[in-house]
Amino acid sequence: MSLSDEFLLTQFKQGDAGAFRELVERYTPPIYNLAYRLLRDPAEAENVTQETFLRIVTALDRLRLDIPFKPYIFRIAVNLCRDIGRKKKPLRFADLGDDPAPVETFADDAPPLWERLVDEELRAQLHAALDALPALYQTVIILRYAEEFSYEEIAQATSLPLNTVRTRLRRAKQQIRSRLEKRD
Amino acid sequence: MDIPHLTPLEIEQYAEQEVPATRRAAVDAHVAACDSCRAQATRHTRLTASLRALTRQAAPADLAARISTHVEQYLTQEQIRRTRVPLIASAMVFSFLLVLWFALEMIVAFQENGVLDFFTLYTNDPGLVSLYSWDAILALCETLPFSEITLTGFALITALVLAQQLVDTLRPRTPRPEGF
Ligand SMILES: [Zn+2]
Repeated sequence: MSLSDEFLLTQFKQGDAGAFRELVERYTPPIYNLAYRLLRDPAEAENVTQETFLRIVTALDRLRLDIPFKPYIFRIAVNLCRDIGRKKKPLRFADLGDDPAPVETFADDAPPLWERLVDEELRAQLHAALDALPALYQTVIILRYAEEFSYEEIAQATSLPLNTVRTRLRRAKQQIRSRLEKRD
Repeated sequence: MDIPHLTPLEIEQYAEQEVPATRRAAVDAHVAACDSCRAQATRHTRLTASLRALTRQAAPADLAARISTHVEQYLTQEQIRRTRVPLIASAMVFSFLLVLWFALEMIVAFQENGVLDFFTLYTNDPGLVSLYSWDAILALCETLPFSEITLTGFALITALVLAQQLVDTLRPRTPRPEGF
């Protein structure tokens, strides 16, 4: 039974350095993964991960213990990635605005060819499809499926309204599907 | 089947287990009965399951340890910084008091040895100075209160350096600029 993030943070605020080490151990892998996927640069991903924790420490006095920690820490990381990304990869990080919904292509009954891929091949193609997504779509996909966020948590982590999260997630998956089908 | 098929949105909601409570029973029943909708839901579920199964890009093995060390170093510096503030502040106040004290001493000394009188004379009638012999001017210089001047200057520099230190120490450490 592991201790909750909020409990560890309270401990840390009371001077227990080990509690923060535990949080660093817990969140370094997912935050590095997010930053790496979004920025595709191992050095930048390391910087973002380190900077995320430093921002939490520098904001410690103002940090609220009554709000969930997980969306909060990801929100810092997402913002850092966006700030760096907008400078270094402006195209991938452009605001999506009100892009029209893509045509629903999967309503027909015929199973798409990707259905026949074995899991391993499918995963490889998914990775490629994911990498081709704009950063905003990629972010919601990673939060939802790699990190098991609820829609509410994604909304908190991305500062987006809940409905925008739903729409974005749906469109992200549609783009992934259409990419998989193009590859067939 | 006579009833309409599920919409793509409903299929997605079903696969994500996000069907609104009011529709849940109807959607479940339809999926159970309809091969076509079930096939689509299964397809969707397989896609999301594969997305869930994607492995994370592994972080360097020592990254967490390095970050912890960095954070602890930062916190230690912060601790030192905080304990230093009262010390620097009191040293600064003391130095400014010294400046006042030495400056007063200096003014008193200037008055005592007649240098001030000379300056008043000089500003009123600069031509008068040319009447002074070099010896007289040198004698005047020798009577200048050098130790008071030096002490005032020294205390002033010390006070300013301490004030600067205090500002530096009090300034919150801002996160590094973008790009690090
Ligand atoms: Zn149906």
